[in-house]
Amino acid sequence: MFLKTQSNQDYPNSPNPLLRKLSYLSIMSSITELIRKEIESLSTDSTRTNVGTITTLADGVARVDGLSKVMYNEMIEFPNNVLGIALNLEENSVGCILLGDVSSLKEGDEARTTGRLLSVPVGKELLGRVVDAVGRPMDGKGAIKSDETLPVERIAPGIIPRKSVDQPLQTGIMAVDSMVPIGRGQRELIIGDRSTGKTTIAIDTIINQAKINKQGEKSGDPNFRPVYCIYVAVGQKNANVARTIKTLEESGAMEYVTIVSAPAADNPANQYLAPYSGCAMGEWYMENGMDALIVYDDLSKHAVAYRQISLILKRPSGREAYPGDVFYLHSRLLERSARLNEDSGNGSLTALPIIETQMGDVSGYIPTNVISITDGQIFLETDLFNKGIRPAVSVGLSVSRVGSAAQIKAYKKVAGKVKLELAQFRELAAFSQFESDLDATTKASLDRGARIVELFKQTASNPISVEVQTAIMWAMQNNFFDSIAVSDVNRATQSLRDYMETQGKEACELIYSTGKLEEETEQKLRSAVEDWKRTFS
Amino acid sequence: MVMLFRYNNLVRELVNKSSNEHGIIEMSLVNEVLSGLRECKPTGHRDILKAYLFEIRKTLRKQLVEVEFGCQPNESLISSLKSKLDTITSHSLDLQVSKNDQLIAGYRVRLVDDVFEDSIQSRLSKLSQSLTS
Ligand SMILES: Nc1ncnc2c1ncn2[C@@H]1O[C@H](COP(=O)(O)OP(=O)(O)OP(=O)(O)O)[C@@H](O)[C@H]1O
Ligand SMILES: [Mg+2]
Repeated sequence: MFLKTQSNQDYPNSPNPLLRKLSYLSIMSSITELIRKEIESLSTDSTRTNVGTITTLADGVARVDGLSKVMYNEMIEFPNNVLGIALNLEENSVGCILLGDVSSLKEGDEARTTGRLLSVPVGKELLGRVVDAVGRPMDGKGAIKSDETLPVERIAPGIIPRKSVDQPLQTGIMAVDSMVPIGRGQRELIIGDRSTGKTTIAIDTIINQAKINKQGEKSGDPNFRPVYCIYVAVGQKNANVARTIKTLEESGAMEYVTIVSAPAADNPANQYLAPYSGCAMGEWYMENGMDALIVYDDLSKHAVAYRQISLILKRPSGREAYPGDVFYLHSRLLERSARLNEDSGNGSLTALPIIETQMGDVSGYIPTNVISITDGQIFLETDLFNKGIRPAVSVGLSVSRVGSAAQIKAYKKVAGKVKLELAQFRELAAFSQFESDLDATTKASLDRGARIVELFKQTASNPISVEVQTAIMWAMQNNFFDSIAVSDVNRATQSLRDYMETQGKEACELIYSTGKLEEETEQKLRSAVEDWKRTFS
Repeated sequence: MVMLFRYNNLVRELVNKSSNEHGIIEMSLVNEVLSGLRECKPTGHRDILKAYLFEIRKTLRKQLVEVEFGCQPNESLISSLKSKLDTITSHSLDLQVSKNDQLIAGYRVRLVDDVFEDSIQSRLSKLSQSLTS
């Protein structure tokens, strides 16, 4: 119809009066037709809604009388565009958590069902943005032009579409990549006391993904799979979130990151929802055959927000006053991270949940729950952190249950033994203090261990690429560091890194492209490291 | 609120006693129940009364249909509506018809907690929502 009117547009200027008149008539009739259709589409049937009235209102939770046809988790509409979610369906009333500004609501206000589940915008339009728990922009950069949405609460992928982890996700942190390697689709917990560098590990991982993405995009490799990142900040101080954003911006990683923020000042409903919203955004990448990484910082505060909601909803409380389903709270979230098989598009969603412990106690309620759901944990020790061994990864308590299957061959070859060596060193160091003369093997282990500890020291926002890591580890395993004093090892590592990134580039590029440490590569590596050793003093 | 659930069965019985054979609540029967309660002075008299009020309100709401029209309603419209509603629910209903200028045109029927609505007002608010969100 549109086409017709357009083609007729030539006729009004036609010299033939009949044609001119005809064209006007035809335009008129098509316009009336258009309007008539519009009217027809308007006169739809009446809408049916289910309504109720607020009976009590406290701490971001409303109890609503009525709403007999509400579904569990359905979005409820309150006056002034306030939204709620039905969480408790009881005999006589419905308990809703409220999102947004509740100060305008009062007892007796009308609530109505919407027939929709809470959804958030998803897609690449969210990259580089900071959004709240329901996906509204918080960074003042204008509306998010995404035309796709996904429900916040979704069922995790089942058994059939899954596949075991087989691709690495490099954190760029030597202590992590060598001892607790992470694979795409894995869920690796970062756990430790407050201020032990938990957030730093997660942010460094994101920065490293951005670095790898840029490198991969520049190489033009069609098989390159970038990792998109989502950082969910729950219950954190606004200053901390601002610091994180600044770090990401300064390192140029922001273009691959979406930040979902529900700070401490936000109401508990938003804090409760934020991880699920972030997860929905991550799932979009996974389901569309891409790879994504999501950081939940942190789930202890998430559990606390959920406890607060549950207590106000008068749900029975159990250990530490958490409700009975606090395990399900995190299991259904973390189960949504997965590695999908080829038939399902080959995508993945890797999760790095963070948990804060009290006095290093991993046997608390929430820590044990989350440890049992995840595929391993990176445990950060306050003692090590205070001694200046940063990142403060504890060798004994950190494990990765699936990631080693995903390590690249070259790296596996040089880092395979390092965890054992370091564990032995910690053990020996403890009792060697009492021994005066040590046998040669013990002394060698001690020397090696002390150097590895120094080697693993790494500053924040300073990820190292896997090929350079391989070169450094190779040099360590081949005794190039043995003649360097322990106190100089860290400086030497830095210098070797600089060398490998510049003069020794060729060997690193070979490792990058083949992923293996073949005869020829090793030859090149050896000569590069020998060259470096001569210059280093 | 939680306390009131204790009297659930008793209160349901009282509500039954307050309604006639058609299930419609009657003033005189309610008075009888109240005086009966006053006489025997059960423990928790006050709480029982509160629960009773809650339950009576709920039942009354079920029997009441609020109908609002944007224009002045005529008799035939109301009677046809009434016959339609009778086919929906089993028990007899009390129709309360009023005119609501805010609707501009159209109607709004409220039956317990279901609202059936087709009015200019609802369309406008839907439109404004789709524009702002
Ligand atoms: N590898 C590192 N090298 C040097 N400083 C570090 C390192 N890791 C962390 N830090 C410093 O330690 C401090 C705490 O780090 P971070 O905020 O990551 O800890 P956290 O465990 O997340 O703390 P919180 O419990 O407050 O969330 C920061 O000031 C950070 O700069
Ligand atoms: Mg932190």
